This record gives sequence, structure tokens and C-alpha cells, in this order.
Amino acid sequence: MIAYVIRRLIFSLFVLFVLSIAIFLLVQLAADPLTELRQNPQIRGADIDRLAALYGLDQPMYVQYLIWMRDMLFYGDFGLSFRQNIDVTTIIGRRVWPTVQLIGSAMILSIAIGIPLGVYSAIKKYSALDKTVTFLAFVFFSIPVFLLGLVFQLIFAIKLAEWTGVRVFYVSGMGSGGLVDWLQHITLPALTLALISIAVYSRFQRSSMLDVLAADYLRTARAKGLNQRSVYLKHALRNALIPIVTLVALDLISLIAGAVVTETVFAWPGLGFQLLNSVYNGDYNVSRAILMIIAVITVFLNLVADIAYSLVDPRVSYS
Amino acid sequence: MVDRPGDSRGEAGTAVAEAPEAFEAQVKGRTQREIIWRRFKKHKLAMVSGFVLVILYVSALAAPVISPYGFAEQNFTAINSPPSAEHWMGTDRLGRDAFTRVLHGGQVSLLVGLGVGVGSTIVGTAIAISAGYYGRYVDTGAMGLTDFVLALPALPLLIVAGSVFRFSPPIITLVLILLFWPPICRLVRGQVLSLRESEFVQAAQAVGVPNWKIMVRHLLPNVIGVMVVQATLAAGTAILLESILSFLGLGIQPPTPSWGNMLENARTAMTNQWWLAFFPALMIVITVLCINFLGDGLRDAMDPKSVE
Repeated sequence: MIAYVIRRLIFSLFVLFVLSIAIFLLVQLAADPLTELRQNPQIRGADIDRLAALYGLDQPMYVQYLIWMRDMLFYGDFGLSFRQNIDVTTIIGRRVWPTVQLIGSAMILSIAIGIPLGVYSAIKKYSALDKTVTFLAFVFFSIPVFLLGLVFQLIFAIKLAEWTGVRVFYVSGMGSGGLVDWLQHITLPALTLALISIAVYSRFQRSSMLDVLAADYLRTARAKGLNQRSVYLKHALRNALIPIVTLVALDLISLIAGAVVTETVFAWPGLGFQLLNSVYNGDYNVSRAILMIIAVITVFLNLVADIAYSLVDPRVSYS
Repeated sequence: MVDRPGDSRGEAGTAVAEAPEAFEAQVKGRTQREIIWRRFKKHKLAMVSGFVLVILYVSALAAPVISPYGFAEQNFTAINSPPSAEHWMGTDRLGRDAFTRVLHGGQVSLLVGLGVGVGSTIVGTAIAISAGYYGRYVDTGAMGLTDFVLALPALPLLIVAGSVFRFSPPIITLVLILLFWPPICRLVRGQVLSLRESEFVQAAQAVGVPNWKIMVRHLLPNVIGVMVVQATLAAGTAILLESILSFLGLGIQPPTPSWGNMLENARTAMTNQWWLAFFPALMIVITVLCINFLGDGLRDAMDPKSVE
């Protein structure tokens, strides 16, 4: 088992190494900030050269990569932002908390709603509620996350304000006031992000619960004369929750990807919103830093999911 | 799911309901194909979905013929006009007919979906069958590659890639195939691993059937069920991802219409010209929903454990 974990760990580091090269090169190809300056007749060539030297852009590519890696690994330094002329670390620092808030709220919502829905669907299999949940899950699987966001903005922010004359929810930003203001801002993006995950959790929880409900030990529990509540909650749910462990890690990966889009739609000032802005205006060091952060988290969560899966399922071999 | 189609790791498997299906079929002399078709026909939603998809594909492919205007053709007397008899889905701020653009945009979205569904399934299955059949280092290598691709953050990478390479429909199809084959590969490999030990494969090996023939004749037909279901999942996810990228301005570039970039265009006009956002949005949801229902119906129909 330990050998398996170590092997997975080394593999993850290898994946990250390849990803770092890919991210470095892709961003380099996407945004060469000097080209734009060279096309500007107002700026002298000597100034551009000085700028290039200042940002280390005059070095050969592999040297730039090595410097970037060294600074990142040993000093936690992601370089300077070309557009804002401040440390990327500072920019990231400002953006992390809003993203954590958004993804955290979405995750809590999806687990708190998705799992009970799944359990209930399984217990009342083929009931009206089960069928409705199943149908809605299909619908939410079929909507691109940005579209959900746009629909929410239109109905719950714009139209609701028109009809009632009161601003209940906001379409962008995260507000600066107290708790109520924050709730008015975060509700729509968090719900947008959470709905697909709610569908995912409810589906998995339903099938996991159905598996357990068909097991012999449940029949035994019933035969012993335990009441239904205790059968479901004590014997079934506990076992049915086990496979969900891997799902939490995998779903978090989806939430991170979804957050990039959701933050952009709602101008939520987090890492994803910053990533797209940097990609659009060629702020290469910021793009690289955020992409690396996402890459590290994604690879790590995959590792966690793999290990959790092997722990949960004794049939997985470690060789 | 935002990131990738059906990752098998989280899956808990569906409930088992025993049915003496195979035996019954033997008695009544039905072929496997007849059984599957009979079961599929019972899944009304999947039947309807399949029918709707056929209409969508035919009309998208025939878009140049059936669309009333050119997709870049401007009508300056009808700018931002609501749906009417002349312009069924209204016109945009350049006076272009939205119905025509939805049809042409459908070409992109639907073909990307079909291409990725078929392509990633072929790639995934080919790798899985070779890996599962040959085992040892072929298997180790293939699984390493699968793990590698599965660990990539797909959407963030696509976002940067989209800002480097201007994605055209064929290129985005190719890129999505490269990202989408691993879940299919994992599932099919699992099946091949158990099939490899089965008696009919051993019998074929014993009488000296060449390896490629065993893979094509004996293994492939047995994994088609998994393949088809996975293909629908991949197709649906591909259409969603393409629309997300195009919406962010990093996918299909205007003037080529795609449902995603039409929505980006319509975003600022959402409150005043509702029709510009409504129809492309509706088309995305209907298409992906139909694909998912179709996949669901096929899964039920091909599951040997399901009850008739």
C-alpha cells in the first residue's frame, strides 16, 4: 500500500513537471508582450530592450523556464505582473479568498442538497420525487455552466428587481458590505456552480444507496426487526457514503473548472476571473501562476481520489 | 459535469436485478440485437431523443440549402427585429437572420459533438483492447498514459490553448478527442481484461486465430455496448465544452457562427433582444439533453442485467 502511494506520488510529480513545461510554453506562445510594444511607433527600440532585460525576456526560453521554476519552487515567487507591475504573488493573494468562498459555498450546497436527495431517491425508488430528481439531473447535466449563470442573472437579478422594485441579488462583484450584502452577491454564482454538482452527487448517492439496499446484510437487518429508520440511516447510509469519498475529490476538480467560467460570468473577483483577464490581456506571469495553481490542485485531487478509491475498494490491486 | 465525461472512478454501479433474460431469449429464438432493440423501443424518452437528434443533424447538415439567408448576410431594414414570419428567430444588431445562424452554428456544435464522440471512442477502444489483450508493458504504458491525461486540468488548459491557436471546428474536435479518450479506455480495458480469460477467446487462441483477428472479431463486438454509451457521454460533454470556450471568445471565432459565440454576442442584449440568446441556448440544451437521454436509453437496453 505504501509502495502504491509512493508510486502514485512520483507519477503525480512527473505529470506536474510535464504540465509546467506545457503551461510555460503555451502562455509564451499566447502572449508575447514585446511584440505588441514593438508595433507601437511611439516606443523606442532601446526602451523595449531595457524592458525585456528587466523582465528577463531577453534570455533564451529554457533559461526563462528554469528561472521561473527556481523562483516558484524555492522562493514562492511567481514573478512580476507585466500589466500591473506588481508581484504576481500579491495579485494571487487578493484573489484566493473570493475563490475559496465561492467554491466552498458551492461544495457545501452540493453535498448538503445532493446527498439527501440521492438517499431519498433511492429509498423511494420510482416515486414522483425520484423521477423528478432524475429528470432535473439530466437537465442540469445538459446545460453549459455559463448559460445557467446567464439565466439566473436574467431571472433572479434583473427581472426580479424589475418586478419587485427591490434589488435582491446582484449580477456581478462580491460587494463590500456586511453579511447580507455578501449573501446578495454570492448566492447566484454559488448556486450556478453548485447545481451541476448537486446533480452529480444525487445520482451517485442514489446508485450507491441502491447497491447497499440490495445487499444481504440489509435483509438481515430488516429480518432482525429493526425499524426502517435505523435500517436506512445506520446500516445503509453509512456504507453508501463510502464511495462518495472519491467523488468529493473528483467533483472538486469539476468545481474548480466550473468556477473559472462562473467567476467570469459574474465578475466574481477570484482566481478564475483573473485567469481569463490575464489570458485576454497577455499578462503572462499571472496566467502562468494561476494555471500552475490549478494544475497542482487538480493533480493532487486526482491523487487523493485514486488513493481513496483503492482504500475503499479492496478489489483494486496495488501492483 | 464541467470537466470531463463519465469518470468511472466515482461510479458506484447500478443496482442488480436478476433476469433470466438470456435463457428466455434462447427459448424464443431472439437474437441479441432484437432483444436490445425491443428494450430500447420501450424507453420512450430515448426514442424521441434519437428522433429529435436525427432531425437536428439533418437540418444542420442541410443548413446551406434550407436556410433562408446567408449566415453573414445583412438586412439593414431589419436590425434587432424580434421573431417574425420573415425572420423566424429574429435578427441581430447587424441585421443577420438568427434562424440561419442557429442552423449554421448547429453545424459546428453538432459535428464537433459527433466527431469527438466517435473519435474518442475509437481511440479509447483501440488503446484499451490492445492494452487489455497484450497486458504487461503495453498495458502499463497505456494505463500510465490514461492516468496522465485524466490528471490534466482540461478546461483551464483549453482556455490558454484557445488563446494561442485559433480553434477551428476540426482542430477543436481533435483536441477534445485527445482529452476525452481516457475514461472510455479505462472502461473498455476493464471489460477486455475479463473477456481475455473467457473460454471463447482461449478457444480461438488454441486453434491459432491471429491476435488482431481475436481483437476485432471476438473482443470488439463484446465491448460495443460500453462504447456506444460512452460515445454519447463524450459527445454531450464536447458540445458543452465547445460552447463554453466559444462563449469565452476562445473557441470558434466569428463570423463563423456557433451556438457558444452567438450567446457571447447576445449577452449584452439579453434584456432587450431576448431572442438572440434564447434560441442558441435552447438548441444547446435540447441537443445535449437528447444525447444524454439517448445514452441513458442505450445503456438500459444494452445492460444484460436489466429487466424487460
